[in-house]
Amino acid sequence: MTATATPPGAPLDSRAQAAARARRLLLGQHVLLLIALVLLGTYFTSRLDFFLTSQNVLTILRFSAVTFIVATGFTLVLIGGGLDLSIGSGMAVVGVTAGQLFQAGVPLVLAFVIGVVVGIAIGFVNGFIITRFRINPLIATLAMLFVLLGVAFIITDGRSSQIRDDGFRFARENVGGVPVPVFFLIAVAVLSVVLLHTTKAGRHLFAVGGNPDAARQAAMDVDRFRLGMYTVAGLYTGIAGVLLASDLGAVVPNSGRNYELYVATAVFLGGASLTGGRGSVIGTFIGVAFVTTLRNGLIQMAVRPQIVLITVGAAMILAVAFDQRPKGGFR
Amino acid sequence: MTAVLPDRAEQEASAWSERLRGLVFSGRLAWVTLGLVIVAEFVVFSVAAPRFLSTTNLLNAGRATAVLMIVATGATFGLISGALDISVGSVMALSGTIGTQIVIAGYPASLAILAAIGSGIGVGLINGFVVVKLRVNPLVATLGMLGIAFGLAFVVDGGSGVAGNLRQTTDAAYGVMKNDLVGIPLPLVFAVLFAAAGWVLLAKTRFGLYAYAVGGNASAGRSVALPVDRLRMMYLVFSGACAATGGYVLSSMLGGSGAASVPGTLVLTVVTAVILGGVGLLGGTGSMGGTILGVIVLGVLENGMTLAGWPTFYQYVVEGLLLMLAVGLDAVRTGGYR
Repeated sequence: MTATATPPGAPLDSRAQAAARARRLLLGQHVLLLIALVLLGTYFTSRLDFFLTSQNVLTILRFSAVTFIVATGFTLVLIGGGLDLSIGSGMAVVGVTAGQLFQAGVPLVLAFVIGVVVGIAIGFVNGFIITRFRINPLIATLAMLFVLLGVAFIITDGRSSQIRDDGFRFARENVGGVPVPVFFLIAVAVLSVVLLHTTKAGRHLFAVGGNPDAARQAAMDVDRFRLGMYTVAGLYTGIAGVLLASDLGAVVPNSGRNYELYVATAVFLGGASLTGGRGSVIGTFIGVAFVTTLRNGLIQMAVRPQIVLITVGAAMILAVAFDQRPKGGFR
Repeated sequence: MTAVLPDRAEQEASAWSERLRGLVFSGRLAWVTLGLVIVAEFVVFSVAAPRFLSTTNLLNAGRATAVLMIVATGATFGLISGALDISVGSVMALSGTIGTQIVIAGYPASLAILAAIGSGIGVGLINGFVVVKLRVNPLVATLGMLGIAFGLAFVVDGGSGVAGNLRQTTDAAYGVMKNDLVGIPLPLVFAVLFAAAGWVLLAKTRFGLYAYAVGGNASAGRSVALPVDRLRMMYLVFSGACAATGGYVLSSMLGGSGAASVPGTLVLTVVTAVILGGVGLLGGTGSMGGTILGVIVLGVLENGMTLAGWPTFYQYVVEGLLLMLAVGLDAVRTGGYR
């Protein structure tokens, strides 16, 4: 019966297929990451009495919200084949703009709206530089990281200041027991899923990121997609920046420091790829939950923040290594 | 016949723009461009800051730029071989911290210096392992390492690197880089020798030649039986060793350093200098001569802006814009990001 249809080498093929299917099941559905998250949560619960209290879970969610919102923008950009290292500094510029305007007497809502608009403008500038001047996104946004950091310092003249106003600190409030940032998290998640999976532009974004040349041959305007996705990412940077400033209740020019590392780790854990065309909102959500839980648990176990930084850095390398290996990885 | 005319005009125009590009961006004339930038900087700053054009200040600028030169030498090899190593700033912090702690603990300075540079070799080996064996993109590998090495530096100095309570050392041998050699700051002398050695290594040896081969076309390298993976690892180790050497020189100049002693913007300065000097982002192109000019452009800029009384955060903006300009020029040269 083997002679009928199976060419030589077929058993090997089917074994490879089975392995691929197993991998898809584990990675594609984020099962592995979920298992890791549950294990991590169980470990912390066993070590810390108060870890699995509703209070602490809400705290984790609250801290997840800001990270998740920028991470979703980061995911969109990665899906489209780009990269954005400027998110942390972008959030800082948004936050200090809103804070300084409010302190200068601009009405609260207007200050926040202008903050978000500044975020959109930052994203647009990123996209414009990358598409118009053909600058590699890694370098363009690395340069923007420093330009924006400088701008944040210039706006505040290098000083931090407290804003003791309950309206400005709305992100610290709860509505029906749920922290306000969580509502923003849900809104951004829903908007992004709708954008990515129900609109034509969203579906095409995967094609543009996965293979820009093929997308060009299919008459897609790759540059317009790129400009659009950076602008949407800028909108998310704006929302996150306002929330962060509100949560801090202060104007802090370097408040976005190290966000790139945490966000990149979460997004790569969530299955997005540096080579474009892959990534999902739900994966990013689980990735952010994982990283935030890790930070929260380690800090509560009185592990020094430097060790947390080491752990997160190592987690990122492992996430990408694990993700890239089946496809051959970097050659 | 008339229909042909616009075509020809277009052809002529594009031929002209090609020629212009060739003039401005390629070969030695790119060096001339950088040279002109340096001259322009000298003119602007000697007007804006009267003390700029004094021997004392220029030697100071050289002292302050020495570390950048040393680290940029390693980064040139790394980027030519196709690996953008953004962990160099953290490696510097780690190396200086390890050296400082060892010498404070009472061991001889030679051991401290060896351990400091050894830490960079170690980090380079790990970077290389992650890139070559785990097949992680070098950017991601070194971004992760940026966090890891920086965290380790803080662990090693026990948090004493926080400004104000840094423990210094008076060990004369460890702090040798505070001294002058016949009136010239020792770090400057060392950096010039270091860069010259890097130049010879890159232009005259196989180690240098293979960097172009690996970065320019790795699969072609494989097909002529180059040990691409081992070479990649060696360039990352070299980059780590140079960064660690820079970290030691900085630490020695300061008389001991901690995790927070290396400015967070250093990696930006290094990348800007190297790319300004003509190393392409995709690997396979560049030269030590270009890197040296790029380093001088940035060193003079930082010194001049400081002397003219500009706050540090304006320098972030100027350097960020300069990096974009450098890569923009690279994009014109190569067709850029598509």
